[in-house]
Amino acid sequence: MKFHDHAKRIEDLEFQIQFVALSGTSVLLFSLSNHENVRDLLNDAANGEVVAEDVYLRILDLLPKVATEKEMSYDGSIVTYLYCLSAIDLSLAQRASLEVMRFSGVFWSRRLARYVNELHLNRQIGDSLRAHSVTVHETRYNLPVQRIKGEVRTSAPPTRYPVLTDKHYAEWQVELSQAELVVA
Amino acid sequence: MAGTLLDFTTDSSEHPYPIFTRKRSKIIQPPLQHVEEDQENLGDVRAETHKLLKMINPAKKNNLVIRSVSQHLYSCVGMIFCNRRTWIDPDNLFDLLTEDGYTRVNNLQVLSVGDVAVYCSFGLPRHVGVVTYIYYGSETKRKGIVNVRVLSKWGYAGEVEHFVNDVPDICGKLDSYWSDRTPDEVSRPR
Repeated sequence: MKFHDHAKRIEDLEFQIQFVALSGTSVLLFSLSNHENVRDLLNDAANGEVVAEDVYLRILDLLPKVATEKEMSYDGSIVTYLYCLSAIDLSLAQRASLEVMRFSGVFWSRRLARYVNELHLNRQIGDSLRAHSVTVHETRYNLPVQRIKGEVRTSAPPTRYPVLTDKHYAEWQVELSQAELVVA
Repeated sequence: MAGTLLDFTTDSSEHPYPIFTRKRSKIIQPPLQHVEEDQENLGDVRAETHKLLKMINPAKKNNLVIRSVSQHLYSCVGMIFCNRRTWIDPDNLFDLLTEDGYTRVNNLQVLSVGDVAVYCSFGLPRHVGVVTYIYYGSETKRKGIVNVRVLSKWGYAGEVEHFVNDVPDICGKLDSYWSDRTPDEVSRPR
């Protein structure tokens, strides 16, 4: 299926409008992850039939229409595109999120945009810590980023160890669990 | 000591206006900054409510009554448990019911106006409404309940009075009724 066909389904009023009745962010994520339209688009993205840029550009197209459109309710479509984009290309989704946050009347899209921004930040932290680990410890240990009760907790890498043995690693794990730096 | 219900938000900052359950657990609200931003950027809620109702199956549509449409941001859970003051996600709804001393109504004969209808999908709470009217099969109530009217807040749209099963699909299916009356009252037919 081409992107145009996906867009037709996702921008159908009957599909869009149901999102108005959602009661929570986790309900939103659950509904999106289980929806046929979303699954189809993601499958086609995995097969290369849909590219992330198409989804991104469609979000940018729809955002200005929200304020002027009387018949449609584009919030539902934008939030769906943003969800799909976050699964295909998180960096591009983060860029789209920043755009979404500039607009009014997109309640669920703004909520998802916050979530995507946070997800992207967590990914960046994880990547930078892993990159640091590669330099210092020759890929033997990856630094874990723990997610406890919605907070990202991590710790400075144990650079004081000249050679990181299993014993050192275990020690550091204990230390990690006791003294944690909370990254907002 | 006051406990805290499981946090569903990504921000653990303290809310400046906390709300507590009857057992003194803090009800988790979204961060105030997010709520204020969402409130400021809320679109035309009345228009969205009418669009939503327009899309409902015509056979059901005539039975839907919009009670109110508010530009203040609150959810179905906020309507019932927090006096329409705040947005509460339904994730911890069953904890909330238990903490507030609600009892599950297993015998529909004792269902009463004011009890709460909970909607779930895959066992997870998605929506909640309050019972406003009960239709019995006969005046003597011997034939049991025929239908139930419920008042609920549909997302950020308006409050709608509807038959218990006439909710948008995204709200899930009716799971159970809960009552704040004593367990004795809930188990004894009137």
